[in-house]
Amino acid sequence: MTPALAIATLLGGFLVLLVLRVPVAVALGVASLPAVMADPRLGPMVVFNESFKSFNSFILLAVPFFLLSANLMNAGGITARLLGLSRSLVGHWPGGLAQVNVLLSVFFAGISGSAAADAASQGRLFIDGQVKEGQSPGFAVAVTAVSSLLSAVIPPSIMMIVWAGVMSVSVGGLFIAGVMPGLVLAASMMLVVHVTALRRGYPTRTRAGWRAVLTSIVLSLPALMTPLIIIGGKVMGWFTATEASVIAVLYSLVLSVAFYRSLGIAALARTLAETAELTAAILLCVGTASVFGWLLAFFQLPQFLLEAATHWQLTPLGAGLFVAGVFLVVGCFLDAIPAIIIVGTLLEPMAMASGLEPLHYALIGIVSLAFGLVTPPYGLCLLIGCSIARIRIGEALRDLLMFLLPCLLVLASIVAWPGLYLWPVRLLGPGGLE
Amino acid sequence: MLSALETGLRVLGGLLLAALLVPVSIQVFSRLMPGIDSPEWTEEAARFLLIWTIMIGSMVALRRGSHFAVDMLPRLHPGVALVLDIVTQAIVLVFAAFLLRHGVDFALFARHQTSEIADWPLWIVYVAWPVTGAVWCLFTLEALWRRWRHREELRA
Repeated sequence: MTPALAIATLLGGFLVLLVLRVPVAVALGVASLPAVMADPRLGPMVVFNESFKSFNSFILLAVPFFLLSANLMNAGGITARLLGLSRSLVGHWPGGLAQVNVLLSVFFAGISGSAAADAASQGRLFIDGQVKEGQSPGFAVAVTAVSSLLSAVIPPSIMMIVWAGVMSVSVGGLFIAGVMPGLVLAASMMLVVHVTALRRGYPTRTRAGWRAVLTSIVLSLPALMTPLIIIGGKVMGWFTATEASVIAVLYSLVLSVAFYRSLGIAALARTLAETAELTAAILLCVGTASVFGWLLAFFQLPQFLLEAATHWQLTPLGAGLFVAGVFLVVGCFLDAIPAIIIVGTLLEPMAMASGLEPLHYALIGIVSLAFGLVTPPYGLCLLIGCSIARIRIGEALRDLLMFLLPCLLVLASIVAWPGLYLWPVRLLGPGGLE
Repeated sequence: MLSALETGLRVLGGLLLAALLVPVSIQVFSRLMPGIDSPEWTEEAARFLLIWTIMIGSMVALRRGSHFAVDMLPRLHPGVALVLDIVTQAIVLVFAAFLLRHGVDFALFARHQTSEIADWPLWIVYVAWPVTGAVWCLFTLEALWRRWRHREELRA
């Protein structure tokens, strides 16, 4: 098989299968079959060997654990405590529950690594309430979906774990690098809520008394320890990302079973089964995407792109903008995990050759792909929000755009001035940059 | 019958996930406590359990339709949508059959190999691929059968 033909069948086949609604993980596998079977140098074992190699990774173990800790938080009443805290802190600002929605996402993101888990739990918690408060359903869905992307940017993050697993960058460094962009994105979302609420005259709530604020802080203090344990343990070099994820699980278990006493055996069994299923839905495509990406590399697509890039003579800024653009477009159609494995590794040589730092490249990639979680036609968190609110995507689109424009400005600033966001990594030094 | 299989697999997936906590916890605590050496097998055990968790979970997810798919087509006529759905399921069946057929070779190929660290037989992990293929075949054939019956209902 000539390389050009092989790459055409891989990419073309994958697109056709996607349009036919074949699940992404299966589509990547099926699209790989013609090349694997037709080329005498390859053969069916490539599919098994490459998928085995990609699954057989210690770092990927962090994915089920961070999913589990998020699901335990929801089932075990930790999320409810954090909701109380967020409400007493920002509930009286213009936009009321919408502000609470964003702030709770920040707390949630610091413990969970899954944006989909965030969108699903907060969609149920907030959308009906926000509509009752007088906000439009489209606005409620837009806030829920956009704020859930913080889970992908604020550590721990499943996307960062996978990124570090397939490319040469440390999870610890990436986790620390995500803190500042996450907080700035959250602030820009809260600003949009503020302005919109004032413009549309959404009603405000009364301010919680100091006593109520204090009570909710005390109640949720144990839950707020989790991000400190995860980040602190990483920075101090006590444990790896995978080990931190297991500690997050054990800690959430102790909190829900012993401290808040709101998790029974039946709920625990259900949470475990649901997490196993979700783990598979997320990680199965790591296997088939690795096969697909390996084949693209075998037929030399990365080299071709690298030559094209040398020809264009991109500066770091130009390469950063190019990378962000590609990931933004790809994210509209493809899940973030396969996008990292296939497109991330594809663009890596080009980005490095243009002088982009590995950590800067990773941060641009993660933030751009996080936007893909809410951009149609395939934005997982947007779909989850719309299905909970029982509205069509079109009804949320205008408000969604209103949130995304400032977020895009933040992305542009990440591309142009990495120093603004990467200083915590340099400050924390070797622990973060190991 | 297949519903019972799905329930069994759901329970098994949850148990595997819980079991996954054991080796990694041992690893963390033995490193944090002075004087205890971390057993060497924990990392390998965790990786192999993860593979089985993913594969068992993928079987459950397939029957429950929770694997992520992209919806790019506009709303279609029910008849057309059904035909398209049958085509989609048939494509999944092709991949399932591939995993079963060549997965058997993959597992057989490793029957004398052992793992790098703990010296366990490698086929205990490799066999996850053909087993996944077999269960996927069952679930997809069931889905196709359901759609075929639904087609007759639509016609009537």
